[in-house]
Amino acid sequence: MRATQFGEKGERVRAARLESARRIIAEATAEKVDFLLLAGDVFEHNGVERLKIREVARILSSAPCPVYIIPGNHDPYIAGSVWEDKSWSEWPNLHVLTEPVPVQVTGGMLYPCPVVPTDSRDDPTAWIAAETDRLAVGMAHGTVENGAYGELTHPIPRNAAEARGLDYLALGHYHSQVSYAEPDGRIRMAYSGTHEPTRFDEHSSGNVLIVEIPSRGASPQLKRVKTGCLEWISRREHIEHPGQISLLADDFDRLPTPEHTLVECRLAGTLFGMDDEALSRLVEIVEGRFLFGRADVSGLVPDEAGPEWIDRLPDGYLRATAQKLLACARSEPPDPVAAVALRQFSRLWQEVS
Amino acid sequence: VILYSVHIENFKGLRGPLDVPFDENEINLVLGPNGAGKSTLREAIETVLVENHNTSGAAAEQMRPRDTTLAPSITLTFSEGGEVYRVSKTFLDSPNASLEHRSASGQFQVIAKGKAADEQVRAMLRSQSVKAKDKVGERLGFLSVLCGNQDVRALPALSGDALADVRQMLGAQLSGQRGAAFEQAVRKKFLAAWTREDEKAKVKKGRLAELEDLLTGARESLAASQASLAQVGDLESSARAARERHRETSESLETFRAQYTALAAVARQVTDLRTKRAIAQSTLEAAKAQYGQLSREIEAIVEAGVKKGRCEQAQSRLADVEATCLRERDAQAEKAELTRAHWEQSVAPDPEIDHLDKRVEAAIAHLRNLEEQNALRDRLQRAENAARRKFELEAALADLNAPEAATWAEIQRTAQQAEEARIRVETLALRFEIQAETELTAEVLFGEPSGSARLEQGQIFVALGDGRLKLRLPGIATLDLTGLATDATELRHKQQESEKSLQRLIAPFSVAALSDLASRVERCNILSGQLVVADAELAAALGSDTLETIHNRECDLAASRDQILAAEPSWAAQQPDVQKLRAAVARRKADREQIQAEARAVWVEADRGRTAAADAAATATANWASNTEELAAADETLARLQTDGRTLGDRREDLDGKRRACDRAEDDLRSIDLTLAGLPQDALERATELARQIEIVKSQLQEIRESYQQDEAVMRAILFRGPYSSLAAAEERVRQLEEEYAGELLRVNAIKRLWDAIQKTKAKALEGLAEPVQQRATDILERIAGAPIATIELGANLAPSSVQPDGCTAEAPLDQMSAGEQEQIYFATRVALAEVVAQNERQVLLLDDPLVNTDGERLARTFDLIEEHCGRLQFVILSCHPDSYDPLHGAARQELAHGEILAMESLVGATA
Repeated sequence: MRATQFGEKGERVRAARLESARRIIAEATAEKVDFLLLAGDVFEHNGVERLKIREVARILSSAPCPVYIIPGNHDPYIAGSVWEDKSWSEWPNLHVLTEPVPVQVTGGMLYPCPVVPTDSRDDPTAWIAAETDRLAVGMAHGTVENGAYGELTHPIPRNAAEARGLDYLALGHYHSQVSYAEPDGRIRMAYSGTHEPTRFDEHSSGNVLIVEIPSRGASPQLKRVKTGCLEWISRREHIEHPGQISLLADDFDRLPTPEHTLVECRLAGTLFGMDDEALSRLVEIVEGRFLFGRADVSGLVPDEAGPEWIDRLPDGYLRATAQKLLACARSEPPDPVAAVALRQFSRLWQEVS
Repeated sequence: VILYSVHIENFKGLRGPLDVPFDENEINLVLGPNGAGKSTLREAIETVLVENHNTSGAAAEQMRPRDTTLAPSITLTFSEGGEVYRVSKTFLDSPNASLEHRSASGQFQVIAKGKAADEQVRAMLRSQSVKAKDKVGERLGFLSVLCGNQDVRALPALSGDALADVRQMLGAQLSGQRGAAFEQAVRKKFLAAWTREDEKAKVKKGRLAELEDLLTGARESLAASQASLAQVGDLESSARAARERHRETSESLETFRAQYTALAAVARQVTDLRTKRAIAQSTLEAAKAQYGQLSREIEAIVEAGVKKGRCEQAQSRLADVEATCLRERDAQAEKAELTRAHWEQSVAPDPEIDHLDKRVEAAIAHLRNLEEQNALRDRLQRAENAARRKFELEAALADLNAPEAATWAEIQRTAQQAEEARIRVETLALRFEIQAETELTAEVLFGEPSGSARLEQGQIFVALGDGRLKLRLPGIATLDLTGLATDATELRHKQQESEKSLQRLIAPFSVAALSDLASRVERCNILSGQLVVADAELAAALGSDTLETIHNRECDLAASRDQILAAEPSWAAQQPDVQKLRAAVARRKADREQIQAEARAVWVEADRGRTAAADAAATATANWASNTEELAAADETLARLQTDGRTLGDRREDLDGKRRACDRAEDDLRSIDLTLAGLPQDALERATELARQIEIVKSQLQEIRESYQQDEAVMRAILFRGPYSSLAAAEERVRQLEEEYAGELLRVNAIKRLWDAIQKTKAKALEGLAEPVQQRATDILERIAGAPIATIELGANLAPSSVQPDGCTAEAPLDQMSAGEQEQIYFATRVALAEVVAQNERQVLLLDDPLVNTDGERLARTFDLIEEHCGRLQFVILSCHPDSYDPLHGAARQELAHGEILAMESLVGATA
């Protein structure tokens, strides 16, 4: 629930996360699912406010079905953890599974693999020996071995579902949605990803997976449903042509629902003389229009000729000053102070006109 | 500024009221002798333009006329920017100031009063209100250039606003009005963020400092949250480790308990067997004790019987041995007594030895007596001889009649004086010696001996004279010798006196000549020496004795000798042989000692035999008594052992029964030991140790459980407060503040960078602005001199800093130029700068005797220059050299003397 990078906007981002949780419940109701699985890291830390825990519990309790939750590596089951809060026992449909013990669920058995120690190097699914006659679903929190992520904690074999006799293994830990296909194309284990993106550089997050298993041994059907209510837009542009910044500013200006959009714009390349005003407009749009916006234009280097206004300065020491600052701003590495000083120059010169 | 008139009252030496009009269009010359008040006039104009009306202090007091309390008052009418103004100031007492503006109707209207008037007038001249004496340029503003006093170097370095304005005037074309406004805007922003304009500038306490404080607070909050979470992490690790330890310890406890159960069963079996074994052991020991007891009784009875028989057999033999030994003992005792008596007799004193000892002593005493007697006789002989010799010498000395040593010394000294006087007389005197070859008469007419003397043939006659000696040889010649006059006469008198004293001294000794007395003294000395020797010999012979005591001792010795000889008459004929006597004594003693040793050896041997016999007798008696006691004891033992009436056979049969009981008990014990050997002997100890360890482990488990429960309780307490939410909020706050801070810092630095860059490029651009002024001043100087004499170099403040004399490649200080050239350089520079100041508006140039050291030709050329500049500058020249300015045509002249204007010429424009 940390939203450090957003500063004062962090609270609004957190509120959006709760809103997307409500969307999950709404989607579960619509899809008439048998149960909900939350495979760990419901909370970012066991030290979150108790009020937040109760709010989350209240939202989840509104689900029309049982909700099975296991602790993750961020919220492991330890003394004082969020799972000791009484709210989890107040709602009959909420089940926090803190022991690796099979649980009977609608249509079969659930094999939960809760995280207790935070840095275990043991396979959390190792204990599972699924019964052969009942539909078996596993729920684990950890890192699939030989995956795209290099972590080693709570390692889960790539063939864990097959090896443990599971029809499906719901995974938690990664924020993006990732599924693992078997040689025959069946998908029996997948990360659903977070229900709301947490960073600009995340992909395929902000979703849940609805899994339908017709019978024991049948191939599960996975459906991705978007639940994120915020748009996370990150643009990194290298400016190579005059007018490019203006087009980019237009793009940002056209984005719908700015109140639910977070924007990060990083520009590098050349700041052409005629783009000076366009750059000001772009910064104004990015930093002023959206729920959160950050424009980093420090990577822009004025072109050799510099902004047009420099040429319009009277011949003399003022123009020499502007050209000197321009040279510093264009130096290698670029001098950001000189670049800002040049912009100050431009602004003040316009003011005295 | 163009001057129209000045009205002065009570200003320093000008009591006034003095009114001095100035021609607006012409050159104004105010001429007057020294002390007329010209410089005071210039000073008054300067004061009314730049000084605050309410100035005070010692410097201000100097404005009053000397020794008065009058308040200075000055009014100046002038124009600036095409408008005519009148400024009036009264200083010190009831100070006031007013600035009036002349309207189109010609009436003056007050536009400012007091401080406002001061500042408005100063603003016209770019003068600044500064008190520091070293900021004259800032105080005077443009007057630094436009108003010069008599000092040749009176061109204060421009500074402050005036310098900026001059520079601005010089370089205005570079940025224009918009540039100036822009620069002002940048400066305003810069000073809003930074404390000062130089390199010591610091960021002002503002938003940046505020953000810094906020950031510090936020970071502290963040650190506190991080610390809480870190503590949770530590506690969690600690609790997890404790739980793991608890699990491992519990497993250990279970292991210990299982081991204990098995071991406890074995321990109980071992305990039972050990109990049985103890009983069997006890039975065996009791049987063995009974067997031993019975066995010892049988042995004792047998032994007592044997012993009794042996004692009975030995009883009579031991009695015989005792009797024999007692007899032998008595015999040996008697023998010992006899030998002892013999030994005691041998050690009794020997009278023969005493007699021999006494003879030896007497012989020694006799020989010593004789020796001492001989020595005494020898001493006595020597003493008597010495006494006799002494007596004879003393008699000879008494007969000799020799002088005492002191007298003899006096005689010798007197004789020496007489001899010395004689020698000196003979040395100093004229001496004439005549050896007569025939008989003749010599008459001493002058000298000594005076008178006539008859000389025989061969006789020698000596005449002496002091300074003169005249001698007549009748019939032959008269000889007259002259020489130097000396004190020979006096010396001769001394000689005679000495000779008389000598005669008187030797007279008592009845000698013919002194040499006789000397021989006598020598003889006396020899005798005195011999007398000393005799005295010494007498003393040596007597020693500490006298002749009488020696005689008495000799008598005593003789009596003692007679007594010894009475006992030993043979020693009278032949002296005793002490050695021989001593040898006889030694032989006698050796014989005695040998007899004593032999007697003692016999006695010791006899005593040893007596002791041995006594011991043997005692032993025999003891043996007999012992045997008797043993016999009685054996009887008593047999009686005691057999009181029960049982026979020895009965007892031996009983002993067999006891032995069989022992064998049975040993079989039981062996069986138990065999069983025990198959079991661990330390089972009980090990079980006890295990029980102790179990207790320890249980205690450890309790501690571990309490430890992690405590950690977990703290964890719960911390986590319940939601530290992570605080951390998230703090991180968000820090991030936001960091971004704001970075942005603000960038903005502030950018403003500084912009301002610094502007100042640097501007300074570089202005560096070249002094060059046209330098060139212009150099041209004016060349114009005055009539030829190039030097290139003027101006400093950053536009004051002359050095010159480069014509033909030289190096710059030179100004003071290396002549006095005339120096004043011309300053004049040229002032005019060149005044041209700059007057580029937009005509300005006054008020000069107080500027060219006093300039020659006529250069002065003429200067006047031409002044006349040419009249269109741009209103020259007001004050001078005490009226003749020098005669060539200056068309000048309005005024004569100032004693504080009054005496004459005026051509003051056409002074009507304003």
